[in-house]
This record gives sequence, C-alpha cells and structure tokens, in this order.
Amino acid sequence: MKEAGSGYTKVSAGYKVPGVTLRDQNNAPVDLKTLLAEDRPVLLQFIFTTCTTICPLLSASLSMAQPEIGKLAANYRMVSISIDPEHDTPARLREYASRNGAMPNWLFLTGTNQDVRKVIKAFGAYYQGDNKMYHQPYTYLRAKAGAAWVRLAGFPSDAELVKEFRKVVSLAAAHHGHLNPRRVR
Amino acid sequence: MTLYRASWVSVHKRLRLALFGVCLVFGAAEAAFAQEPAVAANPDSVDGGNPELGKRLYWRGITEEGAPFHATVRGDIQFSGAQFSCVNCHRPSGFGSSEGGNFVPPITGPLLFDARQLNRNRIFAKLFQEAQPSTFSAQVRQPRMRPAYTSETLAKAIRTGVDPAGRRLGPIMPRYDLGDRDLANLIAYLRTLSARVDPGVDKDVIHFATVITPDIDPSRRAAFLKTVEAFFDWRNKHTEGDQSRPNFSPYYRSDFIDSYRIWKLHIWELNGPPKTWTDQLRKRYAEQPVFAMVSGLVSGPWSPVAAFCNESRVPCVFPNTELPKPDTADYDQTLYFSRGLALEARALVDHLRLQPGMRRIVQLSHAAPAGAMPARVFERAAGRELGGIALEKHVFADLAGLRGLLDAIAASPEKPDALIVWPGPAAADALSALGTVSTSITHVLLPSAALETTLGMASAPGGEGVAFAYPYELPTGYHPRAFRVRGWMRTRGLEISHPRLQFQTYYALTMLEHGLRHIIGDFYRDYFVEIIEHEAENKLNPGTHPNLALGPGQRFASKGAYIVVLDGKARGGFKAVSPWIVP
Ligand code: HEC
Repeated sequence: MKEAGSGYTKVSAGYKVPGVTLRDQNNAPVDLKTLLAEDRPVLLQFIFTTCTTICPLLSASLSMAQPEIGKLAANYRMVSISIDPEHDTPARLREYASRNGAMPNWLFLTGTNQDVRKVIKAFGAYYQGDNKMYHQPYTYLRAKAGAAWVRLAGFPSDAELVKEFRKVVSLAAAHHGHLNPRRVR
Repeated sequence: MTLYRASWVSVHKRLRLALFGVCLVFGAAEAAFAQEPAVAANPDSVDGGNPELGKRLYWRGITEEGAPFHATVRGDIQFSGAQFSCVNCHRPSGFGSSEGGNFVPPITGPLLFDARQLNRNRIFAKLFQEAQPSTFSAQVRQPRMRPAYTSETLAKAIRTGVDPAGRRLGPIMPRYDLGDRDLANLIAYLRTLSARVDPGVDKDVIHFATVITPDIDPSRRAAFLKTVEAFFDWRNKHTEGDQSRPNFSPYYRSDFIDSYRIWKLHIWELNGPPKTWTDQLRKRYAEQPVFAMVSGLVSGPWSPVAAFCNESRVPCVFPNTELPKPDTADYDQTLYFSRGLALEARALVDHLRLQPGMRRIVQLSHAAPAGAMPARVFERAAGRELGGIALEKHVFADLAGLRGLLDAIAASPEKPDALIVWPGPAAADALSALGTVSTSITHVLLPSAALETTLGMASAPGGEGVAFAYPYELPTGYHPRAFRVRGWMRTRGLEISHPRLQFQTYYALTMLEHGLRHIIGDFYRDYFVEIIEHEAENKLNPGTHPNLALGPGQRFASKGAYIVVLDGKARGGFKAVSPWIVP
C-alpha cells in the first residue's frame, strides 16, 4: 500500500488512442491520434485550470523537468489534457501554460466533453461519480510511437520523474537497437 | 499489465518510518532536507503581523514587498507564485480539501491553535464524500495528534515542514522560503481564518432567504414558492423525526444530531426599481441575518442582489435569473446556472460565424436590461468575431415599437442576412410580432425565452425560419435524476406546471442540503460554498442542463447552448440545428 502523497506507483500498459480532434491553447485543431503517432517521446497528464491540490503539483513537475527532459530527448512532447474542457477554453489554457512556464514543446488541449471523456476512458483515467474533483494524479510516459506507456500514479519528485523518463527512453532505445539496429530516424 | 513499484518503497521500509506522510527523499533532495533553515531566535518576531497582507499571501502568494514567494514541494520541485498559494490546497475557508484521495488538513485559526484531537463528526464529513482510497480514510480516521501551535512552531512548520510534535509533514505540503515579516503577516491571518461561526445560525435554527422581485408572472411565482416550501417542509420533518428518535437512526447519524438545525425560510420580496434592491436587502439582512440565500426568482438584473451578496459575504445558491452580474469574478458569492442571456448572445455569434453569405446583420433590442444586456454582448462579440459584417442596431421601448421596426424591415427591399431580436420583457409576443418578416430573411434569431412562451401555445405562429438560442438540455436528453425529482414532486402533491423553473429550484435546494450535510456543524460560509463547488457535479443534475458542474472558484455551472428550431414532429416541439456551442 502506498501512503498518500509520499511517492508514486508505476504500471506499464498499452492504450488505444481514440480518434478525436481536440484544440490546443492557441485554438488550433489537434488530431490526438496523429499527435500521439508522432515518433517522439511523450509525457501526458490530465489537468484542469481551476483544480487545486493535484494539478498544480502535476504541472509543476512537468514544468520543472523541462530542461532535463529536453537534454535527454530534444524532440520530447508534453501534453496536458483538460478534464474540464467547457470551462478551460484555449484562452484559459494559454494563461495556465504561462503560469507554469511552459516551453513550446508543451501542448495544452481542450475539446468537447464527449471527446475528452473518450480520451480519459482510453487512458484508464476515469474517476468516481463522474466528478473531476476525484481525478487521480497520473503521469503517462512513452518513448515513441507504438511503444507501451508507463503510468506513474502519485507525485514523483523532479529527480524521480527525470529518472523514470530516462528509463523509458533508454529502454526503448536498447530495444529498438536490438530489433532493428540500422534503422535511423 | 505489469505492476511494479518504484524503488523507494524498499527504502521506505528500511527506514522503518512508521508515521504517515513521511517525507521520502533521496538523491539531491536529501541534501535539501538535511539542513533546515534556522527559525528566528526571537519568538516574538513572527507575532504582530498584518492580517490583510497575510491574506494576500494566503490567496495570491505575494510577499510584503509585492514579490511572488518561493517554495519547494516534493523535495526538489521549486516554484514561485500563485499556483502554490495556501488557498489552493487549504481553500478559502482553511478547512482543507480532499482531491483525488489527497487529504489536506484544516488550518483554521481555532484548529491550529488548539491541540489536535479526534473529532468524529469532522472526520465523517470527509468520509461521506464518495469513497476515497483506503489510505485516505485511514488518514482521516487517525489524524496524528499534536500539541497546539504557537506562532513560533507554526512558522517552523511552514518553513521546514516539521510540526510541534516533531513530525515531518508530508511532502505535498510545500516548504516556504518566507521571511519573518511575511510569516508574521500570514500567521496573523491564519489566526482569523474561520475563527468565528458565520451569522444566520443559532442553537436550533439555520436561517435562509429566497428573493423574489416584482413583475413576476403569478403562476410562475406560485410554482416557485410551492417548490421551495415543499422542500423546506420535507427537510424539517426529517430533522424532527431524527431528533425525536435518535436511537432509530443509524448509529453515525445520531452522532450528528447536534449539528442538525431546523431550516427557516425567509421570503424577501423586493419592490421598486432594481437600483433600490441592494438597499432593501441590506435592511432585511439587518433585521434577520441569514446563513445563505437559496434559489430566488428574479425579473431584471441580478447585479443589485449580487452586490448585496458580495458585500455581506452571503452565498447565493443558484438563483433563477437570466441576467447574472456581467463582470462576475471567480469566488464571487453567487453561484449561477449559466451566464444566461449573455451566453445566448455569444452562442448566436458563434452560430452566425459558421453561416455562409453573411454581410449585414440587423439587431433589434428592447431598452430594458433583458434586451439591452444581451444586445451589448452580441455587439461586442460580433465586432470581435464576425469581421467584415455590418451590424445595424435599433432599440425599442415596447411591443408597438418592435412592430414598427419589423414593418419597416418588411417594407424594405434590402433584407438583412440575419435578424436578431432581443425582446426582453416582450418575449411572449416576439414571435407573433415577426409576422411575414420571418419568411423573407434566412436567419431570424431569438433568445430562449421567446421559444418557451411559444411552446405553450397550441400552434406556434410564424415559426418557420426562426431559430432560438437554447442554453438548456434538449427534450431528448436523458438524466436519471429527473425521474427521481419528478417522483419527489408527485409524492408531495406538487403540480409540475413550470418544469424548468421548478427543477432548477429543486437543484438549488439539493445543493443547500448537500452543502450542509457535509459541513456538519462547521457553519462557515466559505466551507459551505467549497462543498457545493465540489459536489455540484455529482449525479444531481435534474436534467435542466446537459451538464452542471463547478470547480474551485467557478461560478457558472453550465457553459454552452444549442441553436434550435421549432419542429412539430420532434419531441417537445423543437430540435437542435447546432452542436452544443461553448463560446
Ligand atoms: C500543494 C498543497 C498545499 C499547499 C499549497 C499548502 N499546503 Fe499546507 N498542507 C498540505 C498537506 C497535504 C498537509 C498535510 C501534511 C501532513 O500532515 O503530512 C499540510 C499541512 C499544513 C499544516 C499542518 C497542519 C497541522 O494540523 O499540523 C500547516 C500549518 C499548513 N499546511 C499551512 C500551510 C500554509 C500557511 C500554506 C501557504 C503558505 C500551505 N500550507 C500551503 C498541503 C498544502
């Protein structure tokens, strides 16, 4: 059992990304399947801009890790998906992004309630009573298109998040090298 | 799926730290915790602060010098500024929160400066909120005991995360890099935080008011009042039943009898023009303070009521109004269903943006607030989002005026591409006034109020080609809760003559009930509102809106609208011609 707030647990799983079109903080349409089919490492979280305890911590951990993650994989992608999409307009997400010192590789997405629900479901991140206040602090990491996801539940420290990310990308690199040593991208 | 845990678990076991929420640190973070900043030698140095500056720090993370504060969370995540201000986790009331199974303890003045004891009721209040992870309930059931804080030990806890029992606070509680002056201000504020029970509550009774403004259709007024009164009666019968048979209740409920109060309803009827309403409310409140205002039936702007609620810090829970205060800020005292007519105006602009061939739009608006306000919102949004389209505006004072303007349009060979009418108090006659105009213009758009009055009629006049903004659930929407509410009303012999009005009113009363059930004797208004923000989205939507949900500080529970047209074949007599538009 895990004591609340004193660490995190980890699972590895495959998720089937639904075909939905969301909007980013600049109001540009983003096809989620296409976005996540890009062959680059991804860090993904579910947040909402008026969320109190959990989301500031989740977003702060991504924010803080940006430089280190960038060193490990310059083409990384961070994705924060709002689970309160009707309230979190692109303008509100823009403000949230700047509050969190988001660098250009970090996308903030909103959409219709229905579409966002599909995404939440696909990532096994649904919460009780359909009440966003019960949402869980998950961070999803993936090395490249098609690779399995690693889901961290809880609040890793900065060092822990970077360590987990390093593991995910280096594991994938080793694996990749083994299967197909000459394939370069 | 493979499940494995990060290596810290074993570290944790090796350290054999038995307490809850112990800080787990390794690597670079360990160093950060090894040396704790020295607490000021002079114990008085963190006393005598300015609570106003402390409040700013609590809410916005701004120090006395006006700079954002700095802190560290989870050992090595550093940040500065508002996203980790105390209010984020400990909430405006100081009663804390429970989000995603993370328990944030209360830090109100009375609780901090008192030794922590096990208070069963307060614990139950938390446990009752949906099931939480087992660690959560364990944490709440066995709160760690500690001596009362002093200013000095509190400063130490905020800086270094060590409580007066010498226990390390969990790593989610940030460690703040604050100077003595700032800590003194913060502590001065914490001493005042929820230090006094709010007015409107005495030993046996809790007082509520509902507001009714002049010029309300008598049948609406009657349906509204009957619903409110039936709810109060039902609720009080329950309370009396429990009090007379304490042993009959499940064991935990009998524990709460002390926190039960009879609900007393005060009907505050306002008269005269809106600009006098704030003053009338002040007088009523001076005669009988109420803990909160619930629902309400308002014709005209809500702003004068909102002004009273804000200045007296009285929560106003889901009034029936189409004209919320236009510049409503987060954490204002009124919780609304939606932005009402302003939302309808924005939805119409979004709808028109997608229509081809738009060059000229004519807008006709009644001079009363229910006409002028949405007209202003439409004009502003259209200016921003409908570039290159000419907008022509006319104002009328009554139905005759509207007819005159419509006749002029009918007579003119140059028809606009869209006609928007904000009939205000003339909504009931707006559709029939349109006459032949509606067939000669492609887009004729009206607010939902004009649709609702039409639906009651045997045959809708001039309906063709006319569309309406509709910020509500469609007749085809499915909400299980609607059946329960209908059943409740039938059981009480309550005629459902005005379904939306009565269902919205019922929802407001449900929120009141839930709020009170969860605060259990902690009669602090901020705490009560926080519970409503938290619970609004549970499955209590009676089906009036597709979604009703708030969040911390949010004030509008429903955020979108459909565009609908009359259709005799559709359920309810109309159907949507747009998706749910969230402007
Ligand atoms: C990110 C969330 C968060 C923020 C922001 C936060 N706290 Fe906390 N706080 C917590 C949690 C969680 C605990 C419980 C830790 C534990 O008991 O292990 C706590 C505990 C405390 C306690 C100890 C209560 C007791 O009864 O011993 C005090 C005092 C406190 N916080 C004050 C503050 C102040 C003052 C601020 C702002 C300067 C603040 N907190 C900001 C989450 C937070």
